[in-house]
Amino acid sequence: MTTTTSAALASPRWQRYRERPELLLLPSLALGLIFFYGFMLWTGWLSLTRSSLLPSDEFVGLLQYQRLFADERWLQALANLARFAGLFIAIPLALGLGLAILLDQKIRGEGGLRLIYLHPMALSLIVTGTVWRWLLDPELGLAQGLRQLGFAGFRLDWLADEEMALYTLVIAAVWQITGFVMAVFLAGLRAVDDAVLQAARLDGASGFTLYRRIVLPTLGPSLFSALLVLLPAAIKSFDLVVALTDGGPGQASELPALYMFQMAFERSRLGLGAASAMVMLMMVLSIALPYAYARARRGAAA
Amino acid sequence: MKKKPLCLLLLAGLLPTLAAAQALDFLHWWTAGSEAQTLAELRRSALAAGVHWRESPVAGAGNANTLLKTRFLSGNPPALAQLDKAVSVWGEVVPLADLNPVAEAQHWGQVLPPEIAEELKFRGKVAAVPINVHRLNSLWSNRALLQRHGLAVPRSWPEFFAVADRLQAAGVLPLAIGGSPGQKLSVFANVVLGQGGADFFQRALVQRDASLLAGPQMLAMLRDFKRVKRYTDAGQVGRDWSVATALLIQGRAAMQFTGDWANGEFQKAGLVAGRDFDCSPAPGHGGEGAAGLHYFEFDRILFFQPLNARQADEQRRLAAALMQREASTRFARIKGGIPVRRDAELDGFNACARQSFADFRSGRRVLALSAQLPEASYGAIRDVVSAFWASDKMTAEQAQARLLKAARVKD
Repeated sequence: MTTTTSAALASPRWQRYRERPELLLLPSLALGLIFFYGFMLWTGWLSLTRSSLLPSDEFVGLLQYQRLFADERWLQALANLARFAGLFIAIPLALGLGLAILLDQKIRGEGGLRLIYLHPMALSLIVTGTVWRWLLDPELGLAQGLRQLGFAGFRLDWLADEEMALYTLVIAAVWQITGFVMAVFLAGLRAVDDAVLQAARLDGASGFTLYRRIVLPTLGPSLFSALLVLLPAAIKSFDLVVALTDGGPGQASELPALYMFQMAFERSRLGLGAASAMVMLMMVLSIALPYAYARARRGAAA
Repeated sequence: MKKKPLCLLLLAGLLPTLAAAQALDFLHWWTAGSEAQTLAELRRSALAAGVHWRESPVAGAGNANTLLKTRFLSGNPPALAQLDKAVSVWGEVVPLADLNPVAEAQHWGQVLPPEIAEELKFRGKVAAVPINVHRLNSLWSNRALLQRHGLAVPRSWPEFFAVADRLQAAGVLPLAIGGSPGQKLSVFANVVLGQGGADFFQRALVQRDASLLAGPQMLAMLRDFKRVKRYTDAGQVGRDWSVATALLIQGRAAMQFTGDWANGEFQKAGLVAGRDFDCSPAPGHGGEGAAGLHYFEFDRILFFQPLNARQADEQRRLAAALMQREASTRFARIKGGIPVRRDAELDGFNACARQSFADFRSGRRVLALSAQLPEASYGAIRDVVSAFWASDKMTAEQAQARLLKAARVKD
């Protein structure tokens, strides 16, 4: 078996790929170009047309964008996203770092604990959303459990409360993602050179000071990786919203991705949906482009 | 040598599509319970009419509509599809069938009420077949619960609020409601119809007359709509309409506004109309002595442009078979609601369905907003109504301003 494989790899046919490895990348590159950038361009074009139920070619300029930013529902979705993203990034970063530092104390059973914290990551957001919807249901769930325990007047109506519904999304999302952030920071902590730590200890640094002055400043790249995952995840949040609140009550917990889906696919406003998708794309790009630029510059400098 | 199997494979893949192109393909989302039974009945009628019948079931209306669009874009459209929008929504973007010969031969203009006969047409050509009618403006109530508190079914909105106040004071949940935006829109429509009447409803919400939408009458209606929320519970979020009906059946809530699909839930639980539960027109919708107002929607199948003369012939035969009086009545009996034909016999229907049918035949009929408005305007109005319901910060004046804006939304 091995001989045939290596014989095949040595054949002139394969030789070609060995000399020009980019040929092997070509199919995936072509697929990526068509299905990623191609459809991105198409969405961009649709956002400039009067497309409703089906795509149309009637060019209307920026009309769909004007409609988009005149729509209170979209503006509310953007405001909700700002609140959601802020908490969705800050809380997992703080919690994840805290957990990582605690786990880094060479404690017993670290493997088991790590598994427990990472476990929510294994679930899809639809499952997370459904579980939390049941837990937070005003009539069933936690509230009912506490009432049965004797707290007869206990109410937990966050899902029905226009102010609090968004925070139920934050709770579920934080529960899901914190383990991942912890793992990223833990890897960063483990990467700190022991020699550096020894030297710092020799100089008298310990405990809090050691972390603040020596360890945390080296975690920059970990923080960056975590941010790069969290920010786009916040902007494209969709499944969690659908499963947990469905944007409700009313549109109090709606995020842009849900708006885009409903307009494009449920309400025959394809052009408007495409415009909202383009705005979301620009938000993600405004994060990714500076990062790519910085990397390119660093690459050029090195 | 190596290419042959590939060719065969491609051919084999092509063959079913060719065969499928010949059959009448029906795209639908009738996948569960009584809907699946209705589908079986449709299938029987189709086969009896000698039609090459084929089904493309999809779970959920949203997915089905997406698939339908995709199939049109890829050039492989079905011949028939279940429809939850106005016929004109599809008529404006794709070619439809012409069922005029069938409609004339079977006198659809006489056997169907004009509101339905008109809605089946696009640019003068009949392109859809109605299956059954669902009444939307019913107030369902638990009779025993009301009687225990010495109350009668409210016949006007002031009476409704009085009854609800009494129930609430007695610790009973006055109104069960589900979580969907449609449930709230239904309550709003009932308030507007009950206080302003059918003509006001048509002018304000369908023709979107700005002077009425911005007027004091609409403001009062919005206030009353919001007042209804006081009589509902926080458990409404994410609650299905059938769970809300179950609250009535279990005696945990007294009343519910919803369509006549609730009828089936009561019957399944072994409750008898007029003895255990009541179904009356919504407050202010008439019905005592005189015929009540009938606010309704109807299930229909849309026929797309046939591929060839044979398919056109099959489409017409199918349409004729589905509109036969016995077949049409059977669909309604299984699916719930009432038959579309005014000359239907109501054997095997319960008191609620009979009452609904009597009002449908002789009362004032108003077609559902979802079938009368373009999708975008309908959606925008529904958004405002459900946002106003959910928000304790939005004032009735703000809601009215947003409603006025929503009414202007186009495509």
